Amino acid sequence: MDRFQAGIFAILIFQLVVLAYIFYLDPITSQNKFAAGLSAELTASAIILYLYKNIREDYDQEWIAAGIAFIILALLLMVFYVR
Amino acid sequence: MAAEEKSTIYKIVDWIDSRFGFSRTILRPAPRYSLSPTYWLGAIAFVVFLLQGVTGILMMQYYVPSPDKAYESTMQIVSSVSYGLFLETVHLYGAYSMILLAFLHLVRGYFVGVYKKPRELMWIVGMVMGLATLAMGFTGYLLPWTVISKSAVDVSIGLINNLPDPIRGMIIYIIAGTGSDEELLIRFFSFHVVVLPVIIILCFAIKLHMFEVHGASEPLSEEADRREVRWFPDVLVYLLMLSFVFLSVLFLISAVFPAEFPPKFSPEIAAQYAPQPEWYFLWMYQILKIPIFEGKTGVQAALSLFMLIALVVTFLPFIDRSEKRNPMERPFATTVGVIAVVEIVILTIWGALTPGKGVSLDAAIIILGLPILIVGLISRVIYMRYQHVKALRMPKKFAWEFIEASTSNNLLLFFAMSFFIVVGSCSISMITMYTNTFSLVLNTISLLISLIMSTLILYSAEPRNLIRR
Repeated sequence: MDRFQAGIFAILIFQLVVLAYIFYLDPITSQNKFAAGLSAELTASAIILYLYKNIREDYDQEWIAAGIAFIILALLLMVFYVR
Repeated sequence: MAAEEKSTIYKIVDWIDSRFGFSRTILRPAPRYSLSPTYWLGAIAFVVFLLQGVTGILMMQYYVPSPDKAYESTMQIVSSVSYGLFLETVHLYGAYSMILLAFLHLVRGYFVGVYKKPRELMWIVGMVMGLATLAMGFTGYLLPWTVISKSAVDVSIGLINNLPDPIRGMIIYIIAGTGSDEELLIRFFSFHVVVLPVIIILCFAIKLHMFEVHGASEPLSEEADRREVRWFPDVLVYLLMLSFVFLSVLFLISAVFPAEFPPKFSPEIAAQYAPQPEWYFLWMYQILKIPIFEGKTGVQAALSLFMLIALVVTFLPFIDRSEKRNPMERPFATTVGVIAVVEIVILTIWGALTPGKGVSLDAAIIILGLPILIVGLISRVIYMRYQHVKALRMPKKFAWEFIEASTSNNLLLFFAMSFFIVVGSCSISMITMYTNTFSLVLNTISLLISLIMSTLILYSAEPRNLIRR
């Protein structure tokens, strides 16, 4: 398994964990947490597509870092800020 | 990396392709230069439109289009329906972002001249889509039947009543029927969920067909990478990636700032609130507040002005017949475009800061006049520099360094001063709106300083002075 595949595999595992978390959220009282979780999921999907798109070329690590930073922000907001 | 290791992902893609046949699609491949977010603003707007369709259909299961129950059913969606608040918020911000994306798509198209031959009709169809998007926003605003939205729609209908017959009668009959609240709401609802979406989908189909015929617009730079990439998977993956990024930002904003609703409409409560349109109509609302547009004739003049702007923008391909596309090569069109964007932004901010308050004529002249002067002067400076660099036929890299070195000092100072003067005079005018003389004196001084500064900068920017340096 090369680092592309390892990266994509790690992101897929992360997506499953977040999906499981938001699936069990209360759909009335925790809707904003759900929205933040969905945002993290979509960003993770965008990173996978970015890795796939640039698999044959050099990918820009700054974009990956920006994506991960956005996911961290969404997760922090989901856990500590929004209800 | 070994080809063998990459094959798992490719195998999955090939499996999908062999079943769906994406790679045999009739959609044309795209040049590499078009894989840039600015080329896909319209496509993302359409993705948001699809999201609006999904969230709208889900909300429609609970919404009741009746003046007695519209507000209650909206509150029920927000408070009792699973993921209801999320749907409402995403639908609201989705509408905002769709309008914003359509506007950015229009502005980008204007500045890079995409409406030129052979894409004239694409532009007109795009304008119809844009107007339909605005109409979607207008009709959707009324549906929750809040005190602000209903009052704003009443004001809009009041404005239409100033138009001469038979135009007035026709518009009122189409959008409001006999005038009862029930009929008004049901008509807005049917326009919002059926008529306008059908118009947008039809226009999208026509535009997509024309896009497939003409392809992506030519790049302005001759050095652009014109190698083609396949629609599947390259273009599709790129579009999905952009859409995911956009939607993730939209969802996060929805999580942090969930939608809030004003009270339900009733004539008693309406008297306590100033009617305010949504932000995308604020610039028109602010223009209507200018004293010269008061009274029946004034309103008619303002509505005619809006109509004229819409017609000019729609039929722009037949007005601007020059073949030049580079914004630097057509300074008049570029300057007019920048002024229009700056004025719309200023009017919108001004409208948001002064809800329900009138504006004085002198404040309007200064706030709207000063940006015209400043943008005009800046455009002139930039154009002169561009012509100078072009005349010397410098290599691109050196030309850029030349522009940077020669303009950085005085142009930056100029920008800083202009910004200070615009912001200062706007805020002074806003604060002292009811003390006209004081406002006029301060703004006149600002204007004079701006004029002196501009003259000095213009003199220093003359090509002959640059050569002397």
